[in-house]
Amino acid sequence: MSASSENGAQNASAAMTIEDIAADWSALRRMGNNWNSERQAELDAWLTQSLAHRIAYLRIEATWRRTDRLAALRQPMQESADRRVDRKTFWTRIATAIGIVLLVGVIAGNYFARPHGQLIETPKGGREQLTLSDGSQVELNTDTAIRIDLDGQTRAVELMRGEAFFQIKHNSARPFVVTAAGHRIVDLGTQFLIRMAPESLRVALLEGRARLESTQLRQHAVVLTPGDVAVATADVTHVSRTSERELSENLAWRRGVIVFRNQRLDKAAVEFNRYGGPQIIVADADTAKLRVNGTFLTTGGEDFAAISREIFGLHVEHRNGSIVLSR
Amino acid sequence: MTENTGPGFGDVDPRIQGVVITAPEVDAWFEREVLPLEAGLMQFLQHNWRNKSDIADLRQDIYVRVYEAALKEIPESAKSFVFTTARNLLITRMRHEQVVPFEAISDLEALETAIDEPSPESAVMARDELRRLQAALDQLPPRSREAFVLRQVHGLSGREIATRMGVAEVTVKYHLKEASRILANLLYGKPADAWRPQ
Repeated sequence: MSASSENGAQNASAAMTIEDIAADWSALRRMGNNWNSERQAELDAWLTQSLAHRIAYLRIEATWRRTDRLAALRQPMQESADRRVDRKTFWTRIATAIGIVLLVGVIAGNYFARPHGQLIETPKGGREQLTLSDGSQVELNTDTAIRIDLDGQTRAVELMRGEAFFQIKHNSARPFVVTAAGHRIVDLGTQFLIRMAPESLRVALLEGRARLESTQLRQHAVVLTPGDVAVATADVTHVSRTSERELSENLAWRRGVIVFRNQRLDKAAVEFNRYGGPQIIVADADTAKLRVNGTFLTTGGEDFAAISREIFGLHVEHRNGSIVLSR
Repeated sequence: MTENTGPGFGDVDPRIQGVVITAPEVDAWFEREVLPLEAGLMQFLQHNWRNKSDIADLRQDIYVRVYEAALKEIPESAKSFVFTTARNLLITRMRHEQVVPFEAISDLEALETAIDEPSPESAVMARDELRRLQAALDQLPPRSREAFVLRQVHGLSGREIATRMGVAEVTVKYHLKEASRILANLLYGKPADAWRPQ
């Protein structure tokens, strides 16, 4: 045979080796008990080495997901330690499931959709400080909802809306994972601030390290170090460096204030409006482009309007409980 | 002077460092549109490539090319894109390796149009899907199947499976790896009609 077929054989075995490694990673992750942030970092490194790795992993993960529906057949197992799975019973169950397949779909859907953990919400203008059972602290800003579940193998918090500041008690055996807007932030010993905006997620890291990753694409992880601010949308994550002063200004809400530094007026209005005072409406594009500096109480929308009138000579009109600013 | 130094978190400073490209849309598209074409693709490769030991490698190359293209723009028709990519790759390799007479390429083009790939949108009924999963599980080596069923049906962790099967955890990992690898080839790589009950 020619050299080309030898080549082919080598390449084929290369592709199969990649498949094998991808399957190995998936299996290890699904086993659960040994999975931790170090393993995840190793997997991330392997996945970023080549597109072929990424695709092989995607294909194996897709296979696992396809078989997840088998869990719909789950029934309580008997306790006896030596009990093996009875294949006959199992296939009988499959047959039954085939008979009532639509129902199975509904049941499986409900089973996985059933929320776990405790829901905590703040109203507009509210603020809440929580100390969790593991000693970690969470502060919620205005109009924020989180769900906390510390009973599982990982400590899990879901940020459903709003903004929260986390100070995590690190425990490498039980990682602290915050999910928000299709992303996951895995604590590697850390303090961080997360804010959900309509189209993006912003994560600012103050201390320690944390990993930010998409829940869809685990391989696209970025490790944040102090001063990093990541802005993630569905497709892209941008990481930039921020000064310490700016970070502390981002956290000014914890003291009940907002700090503006050369901020556009329309964005400043959006900030005030989060806190549920009178809504500030910026009426025209020229007014929107004005820039403001200063520190205000989160409840200080009226003051803000009054100062804008003095500095910029704006018209301030109270209309149906809103404040309209215009030139 | 930076634009977003205040607490308004809208735009991103264009001078940002360390940009990470993520592509969840491409991943979702690949899983939904491309993987279901695998059976047809394998059939195509087996018909058109003499050296069977090349096929895993060819499939990988095709997937990488398709995924790379989709990162730029997701093709309108996954099916025609995948098969055009496959055909072009085979033609390039035939020419490059000079092992196949030139006229084989025109045969290839004729064959390509004749291939009857399963369409991804032929939404396999959930009933068929379970039947297919059952048939695929049946083809696994017994110990791999046992480990896989304990994990996916009973939701046991690796450690619990190890205890129950009386083996070490690395052995469990091996069985789960084998099961998933074989299942991927059966569920994606084997034609759908091969699963229909006689």
